[in-house]
Amino acid sequence: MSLLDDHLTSKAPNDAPATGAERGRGRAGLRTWPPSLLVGATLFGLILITLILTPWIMPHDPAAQNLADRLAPSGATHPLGSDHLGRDVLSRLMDGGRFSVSIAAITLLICAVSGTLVGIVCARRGGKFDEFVMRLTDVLLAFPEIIVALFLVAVLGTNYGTLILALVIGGWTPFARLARSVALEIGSHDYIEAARALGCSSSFIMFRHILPNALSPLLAHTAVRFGHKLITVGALSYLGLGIQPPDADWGSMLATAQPYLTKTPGLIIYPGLAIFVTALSVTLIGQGLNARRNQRG
Amino acid sequence: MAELLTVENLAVHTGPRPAEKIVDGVSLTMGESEVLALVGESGSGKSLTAMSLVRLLPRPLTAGADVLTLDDVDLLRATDRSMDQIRGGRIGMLFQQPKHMLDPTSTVGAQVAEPLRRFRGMNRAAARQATIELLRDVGVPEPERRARSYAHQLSGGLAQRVMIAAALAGQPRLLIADEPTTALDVTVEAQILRLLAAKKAELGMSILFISHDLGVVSSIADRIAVMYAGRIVEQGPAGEVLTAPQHPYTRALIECSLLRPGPSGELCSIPGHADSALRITSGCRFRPRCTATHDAHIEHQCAAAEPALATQSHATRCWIGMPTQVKEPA
Repeated sequence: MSLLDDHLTSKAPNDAPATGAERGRGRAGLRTWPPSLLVGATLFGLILITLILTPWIMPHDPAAQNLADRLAPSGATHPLGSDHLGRDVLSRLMDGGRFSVSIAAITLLICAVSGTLVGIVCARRGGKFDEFVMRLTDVLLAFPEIIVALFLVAVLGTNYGTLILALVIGGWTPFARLARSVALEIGSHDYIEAARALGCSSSFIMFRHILPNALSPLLAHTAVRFGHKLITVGALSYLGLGIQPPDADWGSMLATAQPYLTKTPGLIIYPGLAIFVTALSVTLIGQGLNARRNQRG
Repeated sequence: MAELLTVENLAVHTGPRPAEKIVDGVSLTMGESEVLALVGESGSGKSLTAMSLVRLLPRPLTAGADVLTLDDVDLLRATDRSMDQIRGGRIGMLFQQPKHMLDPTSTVGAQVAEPLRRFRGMNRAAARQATIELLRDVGVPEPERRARSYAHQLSGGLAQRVMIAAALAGQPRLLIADEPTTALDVTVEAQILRLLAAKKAELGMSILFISHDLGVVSSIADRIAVMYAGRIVEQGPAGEVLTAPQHPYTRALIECSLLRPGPSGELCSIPGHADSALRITSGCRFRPRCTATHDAHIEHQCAAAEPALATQSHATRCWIGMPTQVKEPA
């Protein structure tokens, strides 16, 4: 369903003429949010607040070892127990989350912005440029991110920047493809032609007419990809390609906990759960955004 | 009268040349402050003619002409960048479905303000003020409030008024109005036509008015050009063309627009389809549908060739009534 039809048909029922004119789009209030959006946003909000406040609220120094108290079960001093070096699991989980979530967010931001721009330019320019970029995305999509990361780490060594680069190299392609198809669809609408007839330059049309109309499907896609990114960051760290000890992130915590799987399953369960819940919450937001878009259309 | 727009031998091709011509040999001239109506059935090429003037033909169509000038600007040689300046600046455009022509995610005011900022170099605040003035000027009630509305909150007539404001914002010399009232109901149509006529008189711009409706055309046009199957078949002052049509097609169009039942009680219609005319490679394209009575001598000419459109003020591409000695093949 096109955005345009959406606006033509959504006119009648809920817009009283007097207030309708003043009220912009999409300020309908929490009550009309789909449940998945509400649940996802609440969960993710709580996680974010916790991660932001971590330096002040975490119970222990995440790197402080206490070999006398290793592999402790949940208790008063260690709410989620301690690991094989006696470090507090809850503190490591909170500190590591800052790394996992921030790297996923940064790569996603870069991917979404660059992919969207490339996609819209492709759709508007067409021709050889478009063909070249689309074939490039085919090639990049053919390589799993893990392989790219392994290669880059071998060449550049492990650090924050390498990890981001590895994730961005393939990560922008789905955005470019989505943005291109959405921009093509919007470009066929009459108002784009009218804008050209009014003398708008192609860059003005791209950023002021096409981008705003393409934003809502792209935002929904961004949210869905966040969970994916988080899991990939976890997988890379699990393979030792991410953050290095003594710092921790959720993936590396899973990796180091492996030998103690049977004795203290909590060491596996808690980081796994953290990845799962965070990915789930953002995916729910994405699905909710999609659902809301379809409600309106 | 000084010529504002000169078009000579304009053609629209279906693809990269050589390709089929769907508009062929169109020549037009428009003076200052003149309304020229381009009339014809759907598919006669009137919109394509207009779009090729501003280089907005949908891909893969291409256009070519011998001469295409607006004022002193050669539109054939203009770069794409300078065409951006001409569209919206020197040439404004109106379309058939005004509501589809407004961006749903942008306010009406912002869209009227775009050309103001672009062509008149106004800053944000000045453009906002001028937008409200323009909207009031074209008869939008409560312009301050309406400037903050979105397209879906407007009626068709109001949306067309907004489009007129946006088209006039760049102070165009020529306004191309492509069936601007076709989607509107009759009372709103009359209001919009009055508004266009008033704006034309006030600003001294010319209007290329595209329509299939001779009733509408008769109320606004100074001159009429009738198009059939990609060619102009008759051109002349509005009064003459409407009261003394020379081409059988023009006559049939006028007959049909009167909505008067014929002798058998049926409404008038022109037998056949316009699209089949594109397959005619020689002679008059209207020949298969022509109901005019010919004598054998003219019949022969109709099949052989299509007469050129003469340069006199009222001219037609029909052999009937043409002084035979002029076009007699040697």
